[in-house]
Amino acid sequence: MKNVKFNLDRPQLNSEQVTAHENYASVVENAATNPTSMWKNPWFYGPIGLSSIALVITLSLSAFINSPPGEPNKQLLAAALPEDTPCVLKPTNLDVPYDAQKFDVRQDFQINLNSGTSIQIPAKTFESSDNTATLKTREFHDKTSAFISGVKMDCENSAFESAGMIEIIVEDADGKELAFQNNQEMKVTLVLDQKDKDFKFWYLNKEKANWEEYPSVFSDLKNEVNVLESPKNIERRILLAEKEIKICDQQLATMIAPAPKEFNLPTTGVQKFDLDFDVKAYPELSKLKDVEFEVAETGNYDKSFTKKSWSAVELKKSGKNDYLAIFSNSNEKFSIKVNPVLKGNEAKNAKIKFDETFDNYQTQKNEITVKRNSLEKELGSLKANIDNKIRALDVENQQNEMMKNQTSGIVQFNVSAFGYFNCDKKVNYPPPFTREMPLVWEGGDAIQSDIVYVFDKHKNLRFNYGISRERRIEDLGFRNKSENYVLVIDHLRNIGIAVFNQDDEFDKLIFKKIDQKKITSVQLASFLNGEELPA
Amino acid sequence: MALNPMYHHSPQLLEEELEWIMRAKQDPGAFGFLYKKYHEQIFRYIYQRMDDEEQAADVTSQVFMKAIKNLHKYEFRGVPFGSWLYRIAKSELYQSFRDNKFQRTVNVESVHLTEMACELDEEENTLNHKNLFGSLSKLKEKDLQLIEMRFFEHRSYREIGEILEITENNAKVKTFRALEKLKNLFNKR
Repeated sequence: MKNVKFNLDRPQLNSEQVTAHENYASVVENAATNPTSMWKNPWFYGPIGLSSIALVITLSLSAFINSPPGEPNKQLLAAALPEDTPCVLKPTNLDVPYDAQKFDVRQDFQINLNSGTSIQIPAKTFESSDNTATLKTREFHDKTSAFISGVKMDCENSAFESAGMIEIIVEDADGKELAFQNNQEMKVTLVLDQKDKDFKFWYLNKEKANWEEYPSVFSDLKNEVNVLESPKNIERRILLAEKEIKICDQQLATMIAPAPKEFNLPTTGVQKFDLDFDVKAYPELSKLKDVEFEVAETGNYDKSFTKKSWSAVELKKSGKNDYLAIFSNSNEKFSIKVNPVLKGNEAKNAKIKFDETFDNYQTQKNEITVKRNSLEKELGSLKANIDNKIRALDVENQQNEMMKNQTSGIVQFNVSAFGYFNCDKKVNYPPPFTREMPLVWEGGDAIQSDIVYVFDKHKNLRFNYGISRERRIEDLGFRNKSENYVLVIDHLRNIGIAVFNQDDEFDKLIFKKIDQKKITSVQLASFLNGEELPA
Repeated sequence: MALNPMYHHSPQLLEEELEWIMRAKQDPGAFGFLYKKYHEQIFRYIYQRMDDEEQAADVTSQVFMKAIKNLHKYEFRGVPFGSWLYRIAKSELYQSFRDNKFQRTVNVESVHLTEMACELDEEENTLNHKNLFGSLSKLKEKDLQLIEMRFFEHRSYREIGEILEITENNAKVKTFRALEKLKNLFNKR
């Protein structure tokens, strides 16, 4: 070994001095603009290599022709910037669990989550081999859940102050996301924690790793909450249904079908005969213009009476519409029950009237029967599940009351793709400290930190440093008049926590070290909500 | 030279790191996390073997640039991503030395010499520094690397093995042999 230089006790560089040499943007730019030498590629040689060269030349010429002069490879460069780091990246081992609900994809499905948020899935929005699917949801209504989920909460160089966020996924039995069918959509009503005119609604586009504004309708919750009926109302509905069924029964029992006799319609196959009578003596028959009489006997009778010669005929009323015809001559006397019936065109017109009347009767009867069946079904359902319904309604009513008291609005939107939906207000990052602000552990050791998070005690708001190129740790600063709950994660994934008021005097930020493996989401939430630090 | 406290990862940390690597393979933007994590380690490794801070920074940038460009070739072998970066750094460094771009430098602290004196069965106050440096310079590069990593950088045999792509046991054996060679050279002078 030759030409080796030995240095004894060369001054050591501290971490800050080393970090000062970081230049990620330059590295990325060089990586994007310095292609690998072709001759180092084994494909350069041989027929395949020649083909490759030809292809590369063709593509290069094409790219050259289509690109503006003087433009570097911006596409590659942009793709390589750290601001494009994944938009969902958990900072700790903690996570927010999903609520899962299985449903039948063939039927309409609705679920009310504990927060009051509701989701409606119309029948056949999804298809699966076993006709079932699982709706998975996670809601984020506080600093802790949004933080540990690792969801990016920055947008266009601003931080997001959240009023509520939800993740929605629908999977099959194998855990594979299902596709929306036939342009169907899910309808979601998300309960918000706060609301003012600056809040907008966003969808996290994972491909672009950015939030995009999403169509939605904000409402005042008090106008929207449907106060569900009380158990007493259900009991009332049962009584009402029973009463209405009785009425239907009575109506059906009293309904009488129209009879042809009432319309003086002739009966086919029944013996008929003409008879002159004094109209004045029978005024009820005077309105019948073209009338004859038909035999109304149900039993046997001498059908030849119309062929005999009678010297006198008398028509006597027998009951309301029945008549008795009495024939007589010197030898005999013959009487028979008869009805007056219309003939010719009069009979045809009467038949039309009768048919109309009968149709009306039949329609009315059907309507009452259908109504009765429906009431019967409702009554059966109410009676069968009254206990369950009473319990469920109690819970839902309590939830609604809770929502009325605790929330300040809702946002309604349709979902045709899975992912994160978020109601947020953009908040500018605070200006960086004007002096160097070392991060140190209690005891004085420097923190070799990748990422710093600053939480606002009183808002669902978090500033992130070190995740993107736009916000490095050197850009750290605190908002005016704010209590800053600061969390750092070092290279060993230790968590450091501390609280700083903007007005405090400090020349370095001292953190308490916590083993990430030992911290729980409850402890983290306690810290972020300004409660006692985790033991 | 401080110990590298973050080299040995738990399986969980390895898994997290692999997740980052997979993301960076699909989206080069995600490499930023790995850069932040390993920049200081790699810089110190290079600067330990060089004389000039700015040149060390340039070589470090070169290492990460090559890592980004060749990330698609990276295969996870159950060791930290850093071991792959160390191999790129080693390759870059020695190519530079071969091209005479930079001078090979060994940086030693007095405290390291105390330990070396113990290994060479010498009293600390009687250890002839010139003799020791002369002996070290006579070693082959691969032996000097082992001595350097073990005694001047205080790396574990496991880490040395991962950087040199040999087993931990082999690293131990080779370091012992390199030390024996150094002893022989030292005692001959």
